[in-house]
Amino acid sequence: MIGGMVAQTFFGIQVAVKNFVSDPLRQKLHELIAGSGDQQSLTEKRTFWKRVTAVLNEAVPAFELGYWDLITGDHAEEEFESWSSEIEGSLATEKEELGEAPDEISRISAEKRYIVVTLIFLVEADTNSDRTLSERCDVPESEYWTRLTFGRLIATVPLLNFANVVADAVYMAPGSEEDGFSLEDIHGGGYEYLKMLL
Amino acid sequence: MTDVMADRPFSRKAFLDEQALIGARWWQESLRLAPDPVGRRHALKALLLVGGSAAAFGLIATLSRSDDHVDISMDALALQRREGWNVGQQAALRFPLSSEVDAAGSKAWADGLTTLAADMAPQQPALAPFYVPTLFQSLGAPSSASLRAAMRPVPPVAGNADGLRGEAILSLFKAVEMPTDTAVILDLYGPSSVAVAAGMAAGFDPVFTFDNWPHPLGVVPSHLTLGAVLYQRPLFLKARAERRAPAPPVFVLDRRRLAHYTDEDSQFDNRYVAKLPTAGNLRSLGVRHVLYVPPTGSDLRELDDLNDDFVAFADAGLDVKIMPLTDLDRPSTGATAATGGAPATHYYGGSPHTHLLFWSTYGWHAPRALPQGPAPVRPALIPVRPPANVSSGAMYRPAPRATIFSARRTGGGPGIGKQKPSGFGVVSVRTSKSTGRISGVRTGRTGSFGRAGSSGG
Repeated sequence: MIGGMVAQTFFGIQVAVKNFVSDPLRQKLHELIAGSGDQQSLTEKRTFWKRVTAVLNEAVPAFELGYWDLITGDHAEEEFESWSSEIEGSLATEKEELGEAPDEISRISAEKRYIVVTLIFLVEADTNSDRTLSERCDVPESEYWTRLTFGRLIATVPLLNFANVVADAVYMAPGSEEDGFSLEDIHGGGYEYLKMLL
Repeated sequence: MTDVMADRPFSRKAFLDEQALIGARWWQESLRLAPDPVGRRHALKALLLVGGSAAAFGLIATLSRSDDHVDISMDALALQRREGWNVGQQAALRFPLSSEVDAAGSKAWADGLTTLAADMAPQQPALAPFYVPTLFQSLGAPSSASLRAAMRPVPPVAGNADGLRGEAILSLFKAVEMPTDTAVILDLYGPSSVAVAAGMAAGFDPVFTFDNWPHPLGVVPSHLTLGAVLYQRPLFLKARAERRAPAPPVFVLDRRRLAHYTDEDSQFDNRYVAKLPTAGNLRSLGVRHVLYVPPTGSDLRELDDLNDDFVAFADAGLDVKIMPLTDLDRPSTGATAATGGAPATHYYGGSPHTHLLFWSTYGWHAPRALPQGPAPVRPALIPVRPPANVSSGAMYRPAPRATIFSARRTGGGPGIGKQKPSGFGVVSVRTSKSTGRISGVRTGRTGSFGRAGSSGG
């Protein structure tokens, strides 16, 4: 078991963002992810997430659908692996569907303007970071699926003490700056679990 | 430090930059490789033995190396108390404006350095629990000889507009016989807050709430606030000796406590959250009205760390309103000329004719005395409308909003016991697992763990 005897907590958040061609969101995220180091200090890690979340927070009004989860205990690591492997594994499928060149129809379609951004974390249990996540995720059920909650949860990330973060990941799909999902793509493309945000 | 694993514990295990997906995934190897929980407990136990309460350190260590060292995030104030005010950084404090003498024109301020915490305590015992002497205590620490040597009195900016505005608040309250059911909260930049409080001190009991220590790289320049208190110390002491009790409280805050923090390697995170009495505390003090004073009319809501407090105040029936400091102004040029060059008295609305309209605007008390000055208009004859050139702060009502400080409590209620968010007011240090001794602090532009230690002695 990775992490040995240390209990862990999983936190994951995924949002479908309505992105317009002129919006810098996708380009900024792409630059940040592409420019991330293959080795990161705690300071660099915090700086990276501060920048990513700052970009996302500017886009909160454009959040359309989303999902988040906080899982503590034995299945936390399994959940992290599940999210990361499913998202990274989807790459092969998408490649087959898209082919090597971007879909010309997709490029010009006004409907193909959604991108899906995912942030996932595995933190040590009973640490300050774990408590921070627990506190920030402790929202009334009626507010689970609101833009305000999602903005607040994303804003939590830079507050984590990354010394306690075992693993983290960020994904943005599609990766092509000319491509995007339509609402139909999202509803029928394996993202059915996403909730409409109020 | 040369240990790459310790300095860069996160390794990227996946990187995708494709048309379908962009992403990256990291693991922190030291945590992935089955850390030794016994060693972790031992390290914390050692910290307990050497440095006091583990709770003071706030955060838990991570084992990032295979040797004896462990990197932890530590409460900045706890670290300074333990290792010295300028821990990890030998640079000098910078004083853009300083003086050799205090407000009395004396150099006796140097004699009061080590007694400042006692000297600045509230006059009234009932207010003592809400006094936060932390900043003043920094001067009295045995390891703070170099801080005492570095300190300078910080005078008000030219013209002392802040002090004059403090006197204007005092004159407003004198006009209604200094009601003790109305508390004032000054939430201005530190030296400005101190200067305003000095102007009010003849009638108000100052309760200082500066809860950090200065540091050469401090994101909060609290040494300037400390210098301002040293400058105004004779006025505070004189006012304390002459003030009639009971007196309304004025809580003195530094709004730079939430200063923007960006770069861990060039800034020391000495930020803190405000500690105010709870609504119950205020009610037990007889307070029914709270006047919050931010700098300008563009600050017509409380800072984030006060939102929960203010909402709780309102829920408890306390009436909270705002008056920006800039609502107090000196008369226009023509009227100023009549003062013959003397410091221009400031008034609510910028005129003696509008000064006492403060009370009808805020609706808390009715003046019985007319203000001094040229031919004031009788307040009773003036419609209950605020002057045109003041803010709408009287219309303010606290409203809950999501902040990083929301609902973070160590106790059952707001105020004292409020908890800092994770990563707020903390610094990274490297310590020995076996002894708890700190060997490095991450400050300065080196980007690595510099040697710990202060130049105190």
